[in-house]
Amino acid sequence: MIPPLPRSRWRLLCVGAVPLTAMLAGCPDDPTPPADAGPDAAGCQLPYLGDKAKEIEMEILVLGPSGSSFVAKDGDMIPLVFPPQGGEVIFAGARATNLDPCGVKVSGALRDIDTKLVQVDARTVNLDDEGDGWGRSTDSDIASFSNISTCPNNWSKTNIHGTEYELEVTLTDRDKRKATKTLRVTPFCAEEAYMDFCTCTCKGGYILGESCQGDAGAGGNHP
Amino acid sequence: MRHLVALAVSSLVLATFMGCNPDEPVTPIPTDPAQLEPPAKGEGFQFTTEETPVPAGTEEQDCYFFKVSELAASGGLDAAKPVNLHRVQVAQRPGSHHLNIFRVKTIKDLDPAKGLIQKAQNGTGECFKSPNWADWPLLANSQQEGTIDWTYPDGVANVLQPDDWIMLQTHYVNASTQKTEDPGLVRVNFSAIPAEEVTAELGTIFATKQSIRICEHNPNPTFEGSCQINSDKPVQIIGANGHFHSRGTNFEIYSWDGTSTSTPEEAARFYTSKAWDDPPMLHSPTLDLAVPAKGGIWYTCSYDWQAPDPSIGCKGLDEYDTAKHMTPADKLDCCYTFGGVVDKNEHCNAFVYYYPKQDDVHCQ
Repeated sequence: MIPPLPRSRWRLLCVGAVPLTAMLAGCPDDPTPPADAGPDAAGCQLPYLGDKAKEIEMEILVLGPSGSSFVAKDGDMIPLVFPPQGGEVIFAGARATNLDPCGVKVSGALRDIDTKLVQVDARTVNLDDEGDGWGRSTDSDIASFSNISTCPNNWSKTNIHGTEYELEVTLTDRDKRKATKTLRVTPFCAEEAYMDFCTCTCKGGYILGESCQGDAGAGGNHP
Repeated sequence: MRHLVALAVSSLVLATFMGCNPDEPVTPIPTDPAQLEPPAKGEGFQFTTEETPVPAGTEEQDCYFFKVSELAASGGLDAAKPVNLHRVQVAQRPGSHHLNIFRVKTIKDLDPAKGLIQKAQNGTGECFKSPNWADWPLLANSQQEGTIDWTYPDGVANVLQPDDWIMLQTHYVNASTQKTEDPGLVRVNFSAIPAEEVTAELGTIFATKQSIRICEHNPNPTFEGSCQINSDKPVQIIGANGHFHSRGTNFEIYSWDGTSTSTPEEAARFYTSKAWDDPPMLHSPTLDLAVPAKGGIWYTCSYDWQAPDPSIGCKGLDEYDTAKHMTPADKLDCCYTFGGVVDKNEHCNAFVYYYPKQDDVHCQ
């Protein structure tokens, strides 16, 4: 089900793993819930982050190929990463406060500044409590970041590698409170092992199925 | 005929079809595939699977390969010319989880040269590995519902080249969430129109969101994605369905403008499925929707986490999560993740049929 992936690299995401926590103590082999248990009863019990009376504050987190995220700023270079599902993506998440961390919709988008065309991925996540009133996407869980598929580039006329785009992340919590942050960023091919594949499939005018050096074409074997 | 699967059924001249309008089915598709009559000679062909028993506790996913020129010849069509597919009929026995028919493109580990019939069970085998058909365009699909009879709008055809291979993939399930009592069996009819009648080529979209997790402590997630159709003119959507497993509660597909970053308004929604085991296959003439130039579709998959079958347990899900995704121990949460085994995995797949076909479609 999972394409050939650089297992050694993704294994790096496991660094820092700790034993099963008490969170899973209530998860036996046959965890049939009580008949009256609704989704919330078995669901997220994380405490509110920050002050509900205040507006949501947020920063955009971008996950790099090493498995570590950083807070993105205007003008930053943003890594394009080869994910398990193939292609090249930007992993865009968030750290935020003054919101309910349970079931937060994280919506990430990359916009072509000239054409305004956009690529969007959205998902519902629980934010990890940082312990200081802020919560964040989890570095060891790529599903807690919006997986913005950027390449193969059959949608933007310009090279995605090395060209400025808009990166937008919107958070919406269970109370429908919302915050959006938009940055000007420059995506770049960040992995040496995939450089030819990345620069080729991310070029403006790439044609789906076009063969790239070091790659058998769309869906082919990656280096 | 070297490459033609021996089970392909030769076309017969059927009096019931002679002189009829091919756009209008004479009789409903029979629920028993064995009763599905092939197209009239010279109008199309029929192909079929073997009868395959599915023992209890088994998920059987089989891939059958067919060469278009040989199928065409079997139906009395010119084997040297393209087949302009215009009508699809499918009959399948109960227990089917899905049926997909692809046009083979890049060959990886699922290769017709390794066998025209390649069977796989319980998540193991090349027929279960979706990267093998990552860039194979979809020709037709069906899910639990046993039958399909779809004639495309006038002049619209899915053009198959003589050298093309097509792959029929069946998935029968006899497990906790779905049962198969009789041996699995599928028969498919493809009917064609002459080249001079073709005015537009059909395009297909198979969008699959793979980075999904449905977990005990995040029990009601929604995943949203889009497909942008790179066309300077509007395109017409004429077919759609969605696919997820038993945790799926709501699948929606919307028309999308290509520039908005939030879920489209309700008025733009054209497809909804709330029954994972009986998703509607919406198609023309009921569905006939124009989407704007550079636009496309937006799809959403919503879930409700359920405790796994006791035979699997959270232990089984966590072991899978660890092995497949290298999830750290402190992040294991009895999660269903992307994959084809219905009791352990989830899907979020959108199937869309449109015309005129475009070379570039980008899906999230």
